[in-house]
Amino acid sequence: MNLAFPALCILLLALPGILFRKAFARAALPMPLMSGSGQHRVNKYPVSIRPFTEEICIGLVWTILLHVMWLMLWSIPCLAQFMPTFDDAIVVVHGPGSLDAKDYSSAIHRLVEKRLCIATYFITLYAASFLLGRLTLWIVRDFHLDHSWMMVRLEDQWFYFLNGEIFKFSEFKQFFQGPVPKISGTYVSLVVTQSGADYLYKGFLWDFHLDRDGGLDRLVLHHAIRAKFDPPAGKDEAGTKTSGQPSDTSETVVENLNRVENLKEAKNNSDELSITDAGWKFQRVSSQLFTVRYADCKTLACTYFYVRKRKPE
Amino acid sequence: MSLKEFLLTIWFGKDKALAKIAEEDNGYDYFPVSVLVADPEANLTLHRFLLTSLDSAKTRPISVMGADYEVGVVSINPAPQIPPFQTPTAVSGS
Repeated sequence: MNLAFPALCILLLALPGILFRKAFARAALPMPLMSGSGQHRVNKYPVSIRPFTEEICIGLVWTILLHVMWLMLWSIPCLAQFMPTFDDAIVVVHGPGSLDAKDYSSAIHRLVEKRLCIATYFITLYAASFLLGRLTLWIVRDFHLDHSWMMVRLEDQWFYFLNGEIFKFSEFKQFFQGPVPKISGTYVSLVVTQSGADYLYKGFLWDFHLDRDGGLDRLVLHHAIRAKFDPPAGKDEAGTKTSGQPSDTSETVVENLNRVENLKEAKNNSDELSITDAGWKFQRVSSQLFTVRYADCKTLACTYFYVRKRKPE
Repeated sequence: MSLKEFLLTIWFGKDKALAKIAEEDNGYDYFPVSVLVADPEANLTLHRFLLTSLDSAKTRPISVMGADYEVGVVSINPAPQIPPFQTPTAVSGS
């Protein structure tokens, strides 16, 4: 009991910072406050998964800030007057172990007399901490502050990469001549080994999931197509040998002819379930959503595209 | 109206705020991919475009149920160049 009570008090004191971080950095679930831009895919926010000790340190800093802010607010004359003395707080946290039992008892009595005020203080602080965390996240995302300032950017590299938001980072904007277009979707290409053979899957990113360590665990695609991945041995798609030397002209022509034939075949093929490109015949995956574990992927490539229409004058 | 538009309107006034938003959008309305993939033909066209036009700076028109959209790929071509004061680390010659 003597050990548990101070530990409980420390937990109650530290909880605001933990709640703030939980609301700000672990808000992977959809939020109702999202403005319209992200409705084409699962509405989610980046998360920030840091080592436990680092998370605790950040949480404690936020705890101190939130307590200071809330105490200042509560000391305003028109609000409930509540200003705990530092000595009482230390006595409660430290416990009666090495203190005079009389002092400890009187401190506890003073706190018990203000129990309603203390309970109200903590309950409102917890609620405010959570709401403030969500509000901060919303402001950061809605105003794209994380694109401009690294300080408020969340530790979710997969989110920014898979959604193409890396192009909007201030450090990458210099690579574009004009304004960066708004990305409508991500076209994902991945190679998966199944039954001893490699398959190339392509599809539009719908969602993704991270594991407990913040690594990519699972991708969810929609309208996926697939082809057996067996590029000609010793040559890549551009018709060059793997040694880097250009291939023979005759070989390139033959390959181009094959490609043209394949494209013609695809054009003439009325069956909408096949697409032919680069000598590979794609087939549509007959399911609404296609999910694949990232651990099963040999390669992952993303193409970002936009769908737009000129605004009427 | 999003919070951003609301604050811009308060700060700059309605006309300037609208002009600023239009400037960011570069004169276009952007749509989610779901407007295309719902139509099987447009879906196939989009697949073909993304399979074959990765390095193209050109956009492609796609029509879906009477509405015309254009599709393009976000590309950072030309690739960033190494500043002239950086020299290759590979040693050549003797």
